[in-house]
Amino acid sequence: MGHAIFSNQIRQLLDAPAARIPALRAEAVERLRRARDPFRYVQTMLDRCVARRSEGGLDFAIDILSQAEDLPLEYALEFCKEDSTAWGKENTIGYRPNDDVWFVLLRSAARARANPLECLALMHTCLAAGSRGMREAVVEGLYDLRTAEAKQLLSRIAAEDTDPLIRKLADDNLHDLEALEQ
Amino acid sequence: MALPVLEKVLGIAGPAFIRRLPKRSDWGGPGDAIDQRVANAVTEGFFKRDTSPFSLWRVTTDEELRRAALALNSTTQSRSQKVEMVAFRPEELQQVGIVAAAEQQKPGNSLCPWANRLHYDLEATRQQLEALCRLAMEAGRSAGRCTEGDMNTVLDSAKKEQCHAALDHSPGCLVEHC
Repeated sequence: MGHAIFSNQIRQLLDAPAARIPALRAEAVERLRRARDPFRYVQTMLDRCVARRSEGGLDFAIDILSQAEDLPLEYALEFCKEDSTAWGKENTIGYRPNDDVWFVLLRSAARARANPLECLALMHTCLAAGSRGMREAVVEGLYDLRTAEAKQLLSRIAAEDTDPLIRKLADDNLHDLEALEQ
Repeated sequence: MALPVLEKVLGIAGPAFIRRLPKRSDWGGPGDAIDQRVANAVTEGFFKRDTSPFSLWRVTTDEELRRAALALNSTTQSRSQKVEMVAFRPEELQQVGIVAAAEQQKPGNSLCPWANRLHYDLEATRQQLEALCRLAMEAGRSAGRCTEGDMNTVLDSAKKEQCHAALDHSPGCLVEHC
């Protein structure tokens, strides 16, 4: 019952007029926090939001999940077990739906600030993936994490990644963080 | 930090139609094979569930860019988060047969009524979008962005104006014609 309501809340959120969105988002966060089977809820939300990525779906998912404390990191660690078996080592720029899932999970986990060290370790693991989308998720997750170690890793990616676009994204993120500190 | 300026952010002077990118890599990089780059941009930046018409914002001045960027963030948890976007010139739309006339001007779905008037719903086929993206990419267009620092400055300025996109409960926007 709770899952069906949550699923409907996400559907409504994706189609809601702007004025309704903050309230619907708060309701979805509350339902997710109270869920007995939260992984199932997260999966439903990711499915819906990734499918609507060009209409702001990724932002909706990050906004909700990042308010769920440990949940994004716990889900990401579990998701990693199955998804990492499909990671190729070769650099690819083609679209892979799970890249969007990682984009949401790593950014949410970083913003939730639940366990920065474990979050950073997961990002190290994800850097092994060949797809551009995965490494972009890491670069954006590190930006959101904002710890000294995260900046160090961003700096390394900016200098060493084999993909010029990822190097550029990492470099821009580093500069943006420096500008925020001034 | 200074307020963001249209030409610096978008890489072109106005007028321009902007579209938010879910992720910056959706627009690819200059070193990518052009066919793959175009396919990614159209599939990831425009399509998925989103079908024609497509949401774009027409900006001509620095002020319009700032208000459109804040409008795009007005429904997100953090209104100062960075905004990644790509810009197209009106003549590029025209060249590929996408009509952007007054009839296509439809209010945007944001908390800023002023910015909502900059919004267009444009009809386009996949072939037209591919041609549009190819034109912009071959012209050397990069993805533009307002950084978080930019957006903090925009947000501070908008709060002083009691902008609906900047405050949870505005007593009434002070911006003229809003």
